[in-house]
Amino acid sequence: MQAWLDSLIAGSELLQQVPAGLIYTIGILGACTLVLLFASLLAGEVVWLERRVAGRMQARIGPNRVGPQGLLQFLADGLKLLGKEDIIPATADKAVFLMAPVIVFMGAFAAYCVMPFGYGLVPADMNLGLFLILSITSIEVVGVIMAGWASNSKWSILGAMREVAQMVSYEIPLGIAALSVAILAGTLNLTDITLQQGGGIWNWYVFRGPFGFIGFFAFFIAALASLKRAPFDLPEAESELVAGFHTEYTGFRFAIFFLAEYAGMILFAMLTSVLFLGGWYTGIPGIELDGAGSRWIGFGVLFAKTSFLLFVMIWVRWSLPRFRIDRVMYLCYKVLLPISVLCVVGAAAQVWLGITLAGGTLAAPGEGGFADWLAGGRP
Amino acid sequence: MADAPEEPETPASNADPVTERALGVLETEHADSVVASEMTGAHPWIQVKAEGLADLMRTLRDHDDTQLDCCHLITGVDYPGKGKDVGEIEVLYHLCSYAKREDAAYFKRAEKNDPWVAIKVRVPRDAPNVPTVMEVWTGADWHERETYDLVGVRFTGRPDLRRILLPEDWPGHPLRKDWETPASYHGIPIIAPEDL
Amino acid sequence: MSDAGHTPGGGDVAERDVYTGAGEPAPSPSSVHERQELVGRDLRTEELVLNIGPQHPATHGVLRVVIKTDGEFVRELEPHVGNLHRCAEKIGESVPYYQWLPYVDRMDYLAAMCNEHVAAMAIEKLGGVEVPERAEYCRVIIAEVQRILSHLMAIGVYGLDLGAFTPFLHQFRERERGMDLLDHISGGRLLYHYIQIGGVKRDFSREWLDELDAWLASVERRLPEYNTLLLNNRVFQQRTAHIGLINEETAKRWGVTGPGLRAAGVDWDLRRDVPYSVYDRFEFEVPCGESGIAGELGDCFNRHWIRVREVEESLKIIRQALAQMPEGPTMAKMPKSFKAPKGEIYVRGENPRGELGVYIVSDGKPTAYRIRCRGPSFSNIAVITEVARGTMIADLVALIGSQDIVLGEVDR
Repeated sequence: MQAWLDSLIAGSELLQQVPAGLIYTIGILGACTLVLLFASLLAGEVVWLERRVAGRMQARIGPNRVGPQGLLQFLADGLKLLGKEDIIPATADKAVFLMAPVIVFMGAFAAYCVMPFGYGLVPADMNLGLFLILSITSIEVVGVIMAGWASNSKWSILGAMREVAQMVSYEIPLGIAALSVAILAGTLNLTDITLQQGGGIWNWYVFRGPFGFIGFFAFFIAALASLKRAPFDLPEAESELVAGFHTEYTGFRFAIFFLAEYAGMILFAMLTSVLFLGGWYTGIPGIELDGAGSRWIGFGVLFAKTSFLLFVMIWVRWSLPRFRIDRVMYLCYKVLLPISVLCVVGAAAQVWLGITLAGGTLAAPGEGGFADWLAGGRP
Repeated sequence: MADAPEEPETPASNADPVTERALGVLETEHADSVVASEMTGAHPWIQVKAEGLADLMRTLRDHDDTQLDCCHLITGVDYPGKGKDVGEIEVLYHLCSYAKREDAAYFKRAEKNDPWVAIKVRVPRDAPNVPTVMEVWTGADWHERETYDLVGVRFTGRPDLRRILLPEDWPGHPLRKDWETPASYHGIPIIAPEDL
Repeated sequence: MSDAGHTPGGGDVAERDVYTGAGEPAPSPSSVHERQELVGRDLRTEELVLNIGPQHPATHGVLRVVIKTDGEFVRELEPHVGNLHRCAEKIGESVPYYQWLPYVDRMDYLAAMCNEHVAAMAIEKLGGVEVPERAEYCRVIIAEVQRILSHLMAIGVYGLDLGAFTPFLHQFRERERGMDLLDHISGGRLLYHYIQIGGVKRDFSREWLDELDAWLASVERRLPEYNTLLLNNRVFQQRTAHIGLINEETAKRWGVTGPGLRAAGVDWDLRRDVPYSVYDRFEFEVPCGESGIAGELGDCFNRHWIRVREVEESLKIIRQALAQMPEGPTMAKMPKSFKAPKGEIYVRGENPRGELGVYIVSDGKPTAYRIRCRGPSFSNIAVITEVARGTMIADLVALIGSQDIVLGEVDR
């Protein structure tokens, strides 16, 4: 990003007279707007996708009136929600009530800033990208608690209670499963992680050894749960808690919660693609898609993988009944957590022993590996 | 009201076998309680005294000959009297037995063709106190509450006798024959069923 | 945790009054005190009183359940009914028998035909009306179609209660076609007034029978599909097996009837054991609760499973009835103004939800002296006051859903 701006400044006489800080600021704001716009539009389209897929699965049609095949349905929905009365319950804690959707929205959207959409298409290429995503999405919990508490509604507080229990628990297997990839890759930079998965499909982390494979499923299930997607949609279980933490929200505030949920879905589907499914790489040796022109095709490839994972999420949602809260906790602590820990230990052992499977290259086996240890190197 | 002695020794051909058995049990166990009975027709019944009703019902439930383990329905019927007679309220218990399903003799088809037993209790309208049978069949709880709500029978010896279908502050008991439809309830006009 | 719900407590009256939460160890004063010591003087814990309903997705109508929760656990609960009271019994004392029959539809509005069947039988028995044989077959066929529709609804909506949306809509596809069937024969989609005193309103036409055949075939073909969506689903089994136990003793004591009773292991079905109408001419099985696929006697899973199997049995009955159906009139000669002789009658029939009983006292006038209806849902919902204590909120929803109540019938 900065490099691109620098080159832009260098190439233009006019821009050289403007203070660089201003250009950077404008550039960052522009990038943010782009990402926000992109994520919002995409979230809207995923809503459409969900409704159409659900329609097909339920022997009905789904929205097909607004725009071609109903693609613009989300705009109509958004307009409708904008026109609704904005109700704040009389007994609500107003400031917190108003702030909650913003925080949830922020948590879901800010994480996009480190997402490598394609080769070089990264809003902020950070070394701690993965770490940043996991931490920023945790902020969402705070927003949900605020929403539940400030609404002063019993359903909301019960929903928020479940949400906290569930999300805080599932952060652990989620983070640990992601860590197993980080260990294999030797970096937290998402671009670097993707770059290591170039070439054949066997270079994707999901196929690089058993731990990546197990880790993929652990990560995806934990992601489903921390996204409150069915069958883990307990915080908003409509047949039990009416609508959970956003029971009291109306109009556009509700729409923001809704958008944030779908933005989170896309984020985690994309993150899963980047970590395990080779990001923008096609998986066919020779088609690398990291040239200046082909990066947009790479973005398309990543988008296709993301869409597939989104479809799986939708598919699961419309097929399974909801778990009960104790079952959800059981799954987290007694199934996913041991599995993900196993993945981390296994991945660490794999790196330490220097085993490279399927011809892939491990990023940082170099010093301190098993071979070095045998040779009397540093432990 | 007839008294007990005229009970037939041999059942009439169209007498209901199930009710007859129940009557036999009551005759031996609670001879004082049986007031009257009707064995034939489509709706045979046994009328008993209100006092000691729960014990009597427990006998019917536990006795090997009857084993009436289900209280199917509790009904209150208002029979207002004329002149000085205050009239009576009849409380009717329809009981049936699942345990007797295999018992062919028990199931011998009579005219009514259904092995339930109807037990009647008649109490004066001005003091409609009937002992509860909730201890015998817990399911009687809501039925008794409904009978209290709509007919105004006061079931004694049980907790929590409050209205179940109508609002707490509803005036009177609508299924009593002398119940007057109020013109309005909290400002909402009421159309009497007679005017429909 | 899964089977924490059931409390086998007896019918102790005094205990029910104070709602101590039988079976659940009440927090002893000392432990509460200790906890307060731990969390400090200013903080205190309290139970959350929650009003489920009257407008709530899980209550299937306007049931209101006040629960006291301790976190996710239901400590005490009290169902409140009566929001849908429409004075069906009072109206029965005011309008002639002919006019009262449509009101019966509105009690259990998901099984209106079965209601009509039982109520018409009661009035006919009281008035000594002979129903033509063909009309009896029409009644049985239409009541069994209604039973299938009602069970499809119950099965699908139960999935909805547990968070599975898809089976519900698939079942509604079949239900919709079945509703069309009843619509074509009676002119109404939900409330029919098809079965009338003395017979049925209209004979089946050739086209209608073809339509019925096609529908039966499609239900039979798709029932296994529905089972893969719900019945054989691991998550569904986890949510329902060993949950909401109503054992045999409890079911009898509370007067639970229908699938709830059979799920508890009581082999009892009025259609077979006390056959009314022409039910004694058909071969069918009465599904009973068992611990086969999953679960145990009397749990939510068994109640659901029984409904599924009852649909199959109803298909059998309809097919046999269609084969045996005699020719003849479908309506007895009825007077313009029907008067029942003095007397009383109690008739009951097996509705999809349990046993519907109709008690009529006649004093010889065109209107009844007293009419009393026993709605099966009334007893089926009363039982939750005992069995739902100590369960989790999600299990309470599963329990209420598996009881398949219709509030129109509870409140009448």
